[in-house]
Amino acid sequence: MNRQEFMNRLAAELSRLPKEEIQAAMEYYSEYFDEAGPEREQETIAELGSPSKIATQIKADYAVRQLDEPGGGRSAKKGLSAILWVILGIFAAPVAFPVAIALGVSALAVFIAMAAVIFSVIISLGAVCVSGIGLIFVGFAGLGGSLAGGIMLIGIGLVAAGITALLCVGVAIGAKNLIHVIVRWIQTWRMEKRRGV
Amino acid sequence: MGFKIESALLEACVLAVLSKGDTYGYVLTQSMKQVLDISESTLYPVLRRLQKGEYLQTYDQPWQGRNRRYYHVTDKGKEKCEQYRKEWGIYKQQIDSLLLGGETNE
Repeated sequence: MNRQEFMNRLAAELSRLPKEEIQAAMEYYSEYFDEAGPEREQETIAELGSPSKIATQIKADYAVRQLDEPGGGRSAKKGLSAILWVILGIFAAPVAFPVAIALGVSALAVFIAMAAVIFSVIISLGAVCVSGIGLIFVGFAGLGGSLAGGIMLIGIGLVAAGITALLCVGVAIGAKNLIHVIVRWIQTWRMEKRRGV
Repeated sequence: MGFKIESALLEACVLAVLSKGDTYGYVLTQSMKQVLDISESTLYPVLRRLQKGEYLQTYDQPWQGRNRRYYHVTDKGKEKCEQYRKEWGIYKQQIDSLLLGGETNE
């Protein structure tokens, strides 16, 4: 690891802190490297330890500071914006509530519709499969009357049952993956929301 | 060393060292390291915390085409340092009395 890599890793580890905090830390460590001099670069990296450890210390300190000083400059600004959000929320409530409900209901409707489509596809495939199996029996029963006709019915029945059974499996796998993707989608969306993106 | 230096104590030491004169991060770290067994990365959060609490101020001074960030103890920082010195005196006595004898179990 060289100085550049060290600084990059440190920046990456700190990426969730406010810009001001990241910049201050980067400046400090950059100056530290400058003071140590390029000939002591490796030694300095070894002395400083891992960037993630440094970052953990910085983040822990930042968190404690946020807790300790609810009246500090930065958190005051944050507190103000929180109040603004509440006020905005109250004013927007008559509109936002119905809109939120409508959005939730339509999302649910889409989900139900999708589930219904998948369900009906599986049911109809199942029906074709069952009738194919039925056809096989009919074919066997008819073997006595007309050999060619009976064999043809058995053949059609086997083909129908086989293809639809395969399709059923395919649809089931597809539906499972779809649900997987949707769940992951919702998770990342919520995570981003929590992060305040 | 078996004793881990506590963060308030570290703050007190930083304030005391900087009270003797302004200096920049690297020199401060090195001079602290000569006395105490602390890692290089311990000091930055302390400096940042003191700065945010307005016990320290920073100013930049150009040196060889770049800046050195100097730390200066504010009046508030000097008060805090005095307070820490007093508290340390009491704390030291308490620990001494337990650790070095005097107190006896009946």
